[in-house]
Amino acid sequence: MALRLRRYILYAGLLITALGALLSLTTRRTDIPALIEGDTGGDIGLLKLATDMPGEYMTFGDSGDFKLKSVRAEVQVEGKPYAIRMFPPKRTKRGWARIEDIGFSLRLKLNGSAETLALKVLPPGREDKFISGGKEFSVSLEPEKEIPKGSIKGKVYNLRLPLFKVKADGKEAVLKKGEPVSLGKDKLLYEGSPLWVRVAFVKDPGLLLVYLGIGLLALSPVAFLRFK
Amino acid sequence: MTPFFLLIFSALKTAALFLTAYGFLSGGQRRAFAFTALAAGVLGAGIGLLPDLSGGLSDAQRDSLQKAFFAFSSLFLALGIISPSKWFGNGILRRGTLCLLGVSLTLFPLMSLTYSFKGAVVFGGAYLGGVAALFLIAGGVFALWQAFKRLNPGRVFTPDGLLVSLASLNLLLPLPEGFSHLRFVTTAEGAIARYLAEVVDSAVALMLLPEHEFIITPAQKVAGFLKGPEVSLTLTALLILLPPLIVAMRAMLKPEPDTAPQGVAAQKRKKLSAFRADVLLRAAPVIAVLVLNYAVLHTANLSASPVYDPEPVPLISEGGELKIPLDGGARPPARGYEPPRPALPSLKKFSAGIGGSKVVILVMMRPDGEVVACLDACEICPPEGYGQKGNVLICKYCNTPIPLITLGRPGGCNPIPLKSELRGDYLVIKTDELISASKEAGKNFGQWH
Repeated sequence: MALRLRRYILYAGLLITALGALLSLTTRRTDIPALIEGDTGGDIGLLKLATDMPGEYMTFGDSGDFKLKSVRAEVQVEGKPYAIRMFPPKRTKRGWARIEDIGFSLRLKLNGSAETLALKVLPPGREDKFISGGKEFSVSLEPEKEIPKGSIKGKVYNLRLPLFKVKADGKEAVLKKGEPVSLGKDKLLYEGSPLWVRVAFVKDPGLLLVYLGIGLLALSPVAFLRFK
Repeated sequence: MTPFFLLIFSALKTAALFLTAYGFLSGGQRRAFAFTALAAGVLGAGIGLLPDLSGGLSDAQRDSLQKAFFAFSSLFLALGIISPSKWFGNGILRRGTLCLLGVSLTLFPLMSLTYSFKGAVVFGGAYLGGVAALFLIAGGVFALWQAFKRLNPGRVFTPDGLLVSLASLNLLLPLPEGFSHLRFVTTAEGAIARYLAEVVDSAVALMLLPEHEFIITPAQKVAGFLKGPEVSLTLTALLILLPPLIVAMRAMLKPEPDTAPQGVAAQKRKKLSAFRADVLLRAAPVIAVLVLNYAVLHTANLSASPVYDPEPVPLISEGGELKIPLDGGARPPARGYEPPRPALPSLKKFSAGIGGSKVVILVMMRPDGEVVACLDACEICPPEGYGQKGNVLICKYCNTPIPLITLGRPGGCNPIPLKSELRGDYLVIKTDELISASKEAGKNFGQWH
């Protein structure tokens, strides 16, 4: 009986995982909207975002070790709030939800017209691009100060109130919150930099089966040893 | 190894493996094996001489050949452990196995031999060397043939031992020049790593596990570990070492014969002694192959990730101080080969003469940006120094990995820290500090040389 049981656990795990995977592959639908902190106008909104992002981040030379361990978003889906993390996914009215990505957005007035850009400028040092009025702009985080250390320079980034460097047509300017700057003929005003998250909403009837199957497979060696 | 030496070695290896299998088999099995092996050998030699290959093999051709060769030979590693006796005897399945064995032993080796020979003689213009190599190969094959006529492989091999030994030797011994890049260990490790990466990526996507560049979760750490070199190397080691190990254990754990019918104690002892000698004789070649496989695995692993150990740059004390330039100055290692330099931060070594002895200092930037200087020795091991392997320092005496972030901390196998001062682009160490630290280190192991 015990021998049969341990065999059944293994076979059931394999079968259920295979069924779940097949179902997932054929029926999964994914929607990944970018939500900006405080933006609660539509069906989906981001009420609150909590991360362990440091207030200051320092790099030396080309090396850096930017890591986040926890990101927790309070997301409102069709009027109901959910606390969502990277893992495990949370069941919501729009399907399984989990955080996919995080970054700084840039609320900007460019020649008088307001724009909100969800930028991928993290980890600090990375450059992102956007196009406005047919012109391409490059944006990156700008260090607040530089500390020379021997032949190497340490760069300190303020991540509470970041500075941005914008480049276009071979010219560049550093954006400070509330201070208008000129970049060639363009006038820019940096109004804020709330965080954004991309939340993946996944409709997948096979996901629970996959978890169940993997759980049984993980259990089968235990059962093998227990009933030997 | 020179091209001709490898060529001769490879030819004689093929002949020896063929003769071993030929000598082991008998009757119809021998005919089936020999016919297939010779036919595959002629075919392989023909492919090697094809004009298409004269301009060098394309990446796709190399890849296909590599896969075919390794697949064939791996098959016999697997067959060796599946069944000891099922694959020998009569019947379609058993004849089929012998045919495959013949193909595996001759098709790819003869193709690589003729291809390399053509490259060296026809395109390389080494006619004299080619003729000499041919004579040596012919003489070697004749000598092997004469030797194998007197030997009885059936005495020392079990069927599974034969399969595993032939497959291992065919797979792991070097191939002729032009094919010497085909190394089973590195190829298998790469293939396993790619396969694992695909499986883990599929599981990550299927189970909605997080995968992010800088948001690190435990699930991502597990997935990263499974895709890492440690797991693929472990699986490669199992693939190479398990078959001979299982076959050797099977041979050695064979139950002793029943000696009850023998009434006289001396006869019992004689029977048991003969049995034990037979077991040892049959296990010996597989154990030898196991040792060889381990050596090949170890060598491949070492060459894949060598320890970076730069030659120390000599310093001269000025005004009681040693000024170490932070912009490098480290020389490449003087060992005849150039291992890849690890990504920054990298280890730098300097030497200074203290009281007639040479003291070696290592300087490194920790991951937190602090530049630290230490003696190239610790408090507990003989002062053989450290090398860098990726993101750790390795004590060359006890092989202990030292995380870079712990540099500058005293104790254990950590390098003995030295007080230093950052002055512009130089790290300055007082000579007195170096003398007292090296005296302290010398208490345990005498003076340095």
